[in-house]
Amino acid sequence: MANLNLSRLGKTYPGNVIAVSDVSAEIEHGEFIVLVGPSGCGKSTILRMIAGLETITTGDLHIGKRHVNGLEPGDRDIAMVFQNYALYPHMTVRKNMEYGLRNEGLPRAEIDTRIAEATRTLRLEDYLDRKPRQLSGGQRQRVAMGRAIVRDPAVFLFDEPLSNLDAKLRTQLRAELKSLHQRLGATFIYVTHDQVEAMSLAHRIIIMSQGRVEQIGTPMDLYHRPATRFVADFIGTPAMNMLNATLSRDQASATLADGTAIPLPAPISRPPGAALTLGLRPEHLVVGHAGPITLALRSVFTEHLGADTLLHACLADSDTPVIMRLNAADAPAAGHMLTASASPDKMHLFDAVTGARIAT
Amino acid sequence: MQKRVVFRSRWLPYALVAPQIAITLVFFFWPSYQALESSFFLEDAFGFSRDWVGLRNYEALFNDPSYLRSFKTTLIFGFSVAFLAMALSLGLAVAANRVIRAATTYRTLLIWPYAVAPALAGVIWYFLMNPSLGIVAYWLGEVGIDWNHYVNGDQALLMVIVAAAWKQVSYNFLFFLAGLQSIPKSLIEAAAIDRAGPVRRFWSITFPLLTPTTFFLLVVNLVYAFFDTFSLIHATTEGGPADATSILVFKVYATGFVGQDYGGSAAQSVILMALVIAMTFIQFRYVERKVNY
Repeated sequence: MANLNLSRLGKTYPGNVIAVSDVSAEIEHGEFIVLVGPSGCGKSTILRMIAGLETITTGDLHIGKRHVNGLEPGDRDIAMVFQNYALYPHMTVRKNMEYGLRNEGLPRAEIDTRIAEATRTLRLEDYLDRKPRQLSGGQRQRVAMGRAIVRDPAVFLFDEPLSNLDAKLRTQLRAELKSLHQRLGATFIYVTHDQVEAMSLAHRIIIMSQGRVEQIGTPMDLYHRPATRFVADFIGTPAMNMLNATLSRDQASATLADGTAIPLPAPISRPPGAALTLGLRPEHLVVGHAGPITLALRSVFTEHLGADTLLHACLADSDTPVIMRLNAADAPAAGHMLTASASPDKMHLFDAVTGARIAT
Repeated sequence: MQKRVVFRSRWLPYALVAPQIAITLVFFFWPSYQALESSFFLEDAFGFSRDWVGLRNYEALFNDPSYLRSFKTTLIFGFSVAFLAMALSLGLAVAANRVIRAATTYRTLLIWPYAVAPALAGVIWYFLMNPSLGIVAYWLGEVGIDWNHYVNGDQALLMVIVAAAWKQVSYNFLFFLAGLQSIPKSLIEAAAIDRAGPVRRFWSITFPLLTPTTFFLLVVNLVYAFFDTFSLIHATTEGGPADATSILVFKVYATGFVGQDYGGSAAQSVILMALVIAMTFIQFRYVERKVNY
């Protein structure tokens, strides 16, 4: 069993640069965990600390029952797939996959069995005697995965493994990764800056910003109940619409800068006049006066994506942008005024100062 | 993909390369031709007369045991210098590559010996190893080694090898360091995750990936040891004792200017020239291509 326990992990670089602080998480055996966040948020640092490639400044890391802070990368029972694949360029595909097994001192027969199995899984049989430079990006990526699989580790670590590939290949390999995970049943920890990848792969997502964990939860948790304004903004494309508002005297509605009153799903216990951020996803806005929330908008331009159309608009009396996801047919032309409606229970409320979610 | 420059006037490109061609012709081709020409003549010491002897100068050389011995000495000298200089510099480069703080200072200090002229490098080691004054000779005496390169030919050869290698270490160091830094860090990390210890990582990953650098430096070091160490030998052992350190370039000088056998000296120069051409050819042809990934 290889559950991971991250207990208040921190990483400080010389010169007092804090890359990661106070990250705690409990990762179950067989889970697919995705660490996501913008570049520089510390997600790769955490992965590298788990791998043993970075020393852990503070906190404790357990893999299974073992405390591994001081262990060499090779002794942690992990395998890692790097963003640039990190295949040994002077070795053939077979030698690349063998390398770790030979270092472990496995018998020849066992090595051959494992390689045969991994190459079948990843459909690499025809490439065993090629050098990495003779392979395409997607094939290299599969070799890198193969090199991890043959090790039969308790934990697989992935550092943005798909980001050097084109969009189509990325989608394809994403699916392969997911089925690979189901077949192996091992713990996967996966770093990416791409929220779509995170949403489609993860059992649970750890979303980070500036070296801190913003939220840990299932993709649907993060989508439906973002813990902070940062999470709300990061998850979902196009991003959630954010409107600045102040709490009205009755505590059951909020007022936008142009005076529009927005009914809240439930009264909240904050002093009247408190600064709020109202979040509405583009897919939860519809054209029409149905209410209860109504917004007067001026359309700016539309993006036709095929299945649906994105309407870029702004609040009628200001430049605050609002994006709506509509059916392809009913998109108004640029410059038109329109009214959009939404239901209050689809609305997210955040404290405008701290960014924290306000429960309703 | 090569970018082609198109000149508007026809004579400009020729004018631009003219100085380079002029210099090459005057300082390289002309002397080379002269050497080639005189290698076919027997000339008297004062240059009053010369007789056509065809290939007899070459014939004489290859029948001369001292010349053949010099060939052997040169090979021993060349490969020892190359090996010693490269092994030391690789060690230093690996160490320097791990240094994070004050890395530039460390590097600058290591580069200094390269600024020392070969003759001076020789003289420094000559003094250090002087049997009656030298500190190194004294230390060697303390550990029971009787050092006297005035008498002992092997010791003399060893001394010039060390001196020549010492000077070359900094040059090799720069290239090895650059080579090491061009190896992606993730490869070493991947090997660490693949349970390879530091020593195994070095020999199975780092060293093979350095092959292009190593091969390039091998050629450069051999060329240096074969041809650029004349002043070092001249300033220290003068080829002695008993021709023990008389490498080919020194022999050219000894035959021509000391022995006044211009034809024989010219023939030796031509052979050296052929050697240089061969090595340059190897370098151009394989260094670019001998990249094994």
